[in-house]
Amino acid sequence: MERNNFNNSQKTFIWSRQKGLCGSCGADLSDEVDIEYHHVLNCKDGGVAIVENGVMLCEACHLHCHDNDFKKALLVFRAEFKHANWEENSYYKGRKKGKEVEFTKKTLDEFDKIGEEMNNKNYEGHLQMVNQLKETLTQLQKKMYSITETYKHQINVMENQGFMDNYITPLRGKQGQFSSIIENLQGMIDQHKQIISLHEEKLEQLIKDARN
Amino acid sequence: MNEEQSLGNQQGWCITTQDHLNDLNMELKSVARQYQTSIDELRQFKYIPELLPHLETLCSEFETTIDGVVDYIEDEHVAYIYGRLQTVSAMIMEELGLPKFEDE
Repeated sequence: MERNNFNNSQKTFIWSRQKGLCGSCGADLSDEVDIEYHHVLNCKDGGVAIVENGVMLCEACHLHCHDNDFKKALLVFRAEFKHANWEENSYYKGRKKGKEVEFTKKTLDEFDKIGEEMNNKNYEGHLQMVNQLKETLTQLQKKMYSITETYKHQINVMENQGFMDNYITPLRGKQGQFSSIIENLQGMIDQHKQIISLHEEKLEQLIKDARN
Repeated sequence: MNEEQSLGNQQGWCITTQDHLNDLNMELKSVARQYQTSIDELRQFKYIPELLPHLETLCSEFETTIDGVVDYIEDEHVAYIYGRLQTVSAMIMEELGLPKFEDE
């Protein structure tokens, strides 16, 4: 029967390899009591207690690792364990469905490809872009409101200053039409913003799902 | 207020209002471009495929509406105010006894 827990010598080796730093966030764990030794390939996926499959982590990073499923755990290994100091050609062994497998660089490159595809689902980036679009529309609405009010105000001012009547009357009509057109446009922009808000909600949900 | 002052005020009003309206038109055109740029970026960054056409439709609707509003402001308001500006300017020239300039 294979051991699933790292023994003290393995822990010492891993600790030295990482120079006492958390393999993920790089926090100094020299004075920490609660140091966690993580199986990169989880035991339930056939990961075993060998130093190639071990990384020392702080408690928070360890919890974060277990939030991920098998594939994501591998991606985390590649992308986030910057302080693990594995050898370039290191691999980890495990058994999937009773069969022993070795995860070599080639296999990991395939996972990198999966990682790239995951990055394409850049929901947070998308959320930022739609937020920005909504903000741009809000700024335009403010500008439209301000110019409509200025237009109205200008006519009032000139009327009080004895502007020619034959000029004021058609202008009043034109300004009314202008206000009405701008009001319709404001309504359309409000609708667009509401729809964009629905997109934001959807993206926020996708981000939440991805984190879980 | 004498006639010259009144005409001067009217001329100032025409110029200011014309500037505001031109400014709004530029802003409308700029936001329509930004809208399109945002959609292009979302497409480039592989926005959720089933939702993208939805935003593309909104963008197209926005562009069409903005084009209409910009034309309306130019044709109905800016042109009208420009006409008034020409008239008022001519009256001021006459008031001051200056020669009229004919448009080429």
